[in-house]
Amino acid sequence: MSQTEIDNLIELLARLPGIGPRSARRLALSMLKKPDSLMRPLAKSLLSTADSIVKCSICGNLDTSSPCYICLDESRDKSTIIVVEEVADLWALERASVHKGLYHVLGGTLSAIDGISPDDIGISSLVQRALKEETKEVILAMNATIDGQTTAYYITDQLAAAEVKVSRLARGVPVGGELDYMDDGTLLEAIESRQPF
Amino acid sequence: MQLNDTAIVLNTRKYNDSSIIMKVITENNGIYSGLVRIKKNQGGFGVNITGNKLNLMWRARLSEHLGFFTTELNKSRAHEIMKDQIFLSGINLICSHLDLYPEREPCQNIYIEFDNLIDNFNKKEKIWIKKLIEFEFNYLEFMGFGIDLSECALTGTTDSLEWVSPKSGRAVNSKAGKKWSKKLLKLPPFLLDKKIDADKNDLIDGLNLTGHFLKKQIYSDLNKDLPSSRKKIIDSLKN
Repeated sequence: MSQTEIDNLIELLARLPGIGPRSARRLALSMLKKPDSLMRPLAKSLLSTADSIVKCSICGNLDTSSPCYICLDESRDKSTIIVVEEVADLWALERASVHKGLYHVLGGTLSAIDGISPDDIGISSLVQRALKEETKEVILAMNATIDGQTTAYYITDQLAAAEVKVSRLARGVPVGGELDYMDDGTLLEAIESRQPF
Repeated sequence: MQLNDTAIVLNTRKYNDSSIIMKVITENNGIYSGLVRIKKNQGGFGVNITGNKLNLMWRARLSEHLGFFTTELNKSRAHEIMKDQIFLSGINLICSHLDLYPEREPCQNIYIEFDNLIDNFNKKEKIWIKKLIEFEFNYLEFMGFGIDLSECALTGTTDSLEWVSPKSGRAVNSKAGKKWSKKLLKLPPFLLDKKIDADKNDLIDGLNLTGHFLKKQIYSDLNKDLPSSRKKIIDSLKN
């Protein structure tokens, strides 16, 4: 491997999120030290993943098949759809095993400033899914940001024609959170959404 | 370089895993952008959100650098904004307008007006939309495209001003403008006298008036459409 190839490898690694040029150099060096046990399997895995990964035609998740393994799973509750902004959000909910229903990945949020309109994200396909008889509830799991909530309101308007219950995630004190460090808005939301104990 | 000021968050964009680029309107120094480092394990998520008022410190080696922000929450308002669709649309609309305003140009009047607008949201009354229209009206003036309502463009009189010319942006008297009434824009009375109450039709007329000039003078030059949140506000008035 010539110096140019190593530089190229470092440059590519440095494009990954959370990895700067220093970390990229360290990663590259670590791989170069273990070409057979690490570098070749990694290259093989990257290639096969790049060849096989597709976007699910139903929910927008990333998987080796379309429809994805979640949409094909017969044991899942097909009456509930959780709407998330990105695939990372879907993975977070799956990791926590808190939802046994289906998902819908929008692939972004509406943004007046960035010029992202409803046609740019998967809202129309969500409405089509919600119109199906089996769908009973759509849970909006958007980020608690202005863009996230703007998108949530827009989706709620679009789902008016479908006879489905539309709900959103609760807001308040996170597990392990200390009240002293909470912002006023979160505290107010927590007080307003308090539960009997 | 360092400056300390009070500011309102206009928008944030993700830069990488640990930082965002935030745009704010400051009380004394105009609109500023800067990098904010996010410590995900230390909370503080509810601070740098659109609409929140912050105590801000901006620091950079040279004035032309992007610089870094250090922020502290002064007044939390984002949670209130998120509760109401019209409030949310209104704030989205203002932030879209201010995103086009030149950076680092002092604009204390806009800041004060924006600050009041967020603090005085009242979803039961249409007063807030009236204030929003007044904001757009003043924003056009700040951008250098003010609508002249001082006298009739045709007769020079100050009485019975009822229309605005879509070309010149000058007011037209009800009698003089009768002939071109289909081409002229309706001037709602509350823009002439802030004490006058506005009904639903006046508000729609006001939004059409400011919308025409915003599109003509600012957005079309940038090949942009007017923000979709504007349509949401007009639709809410029509229904």
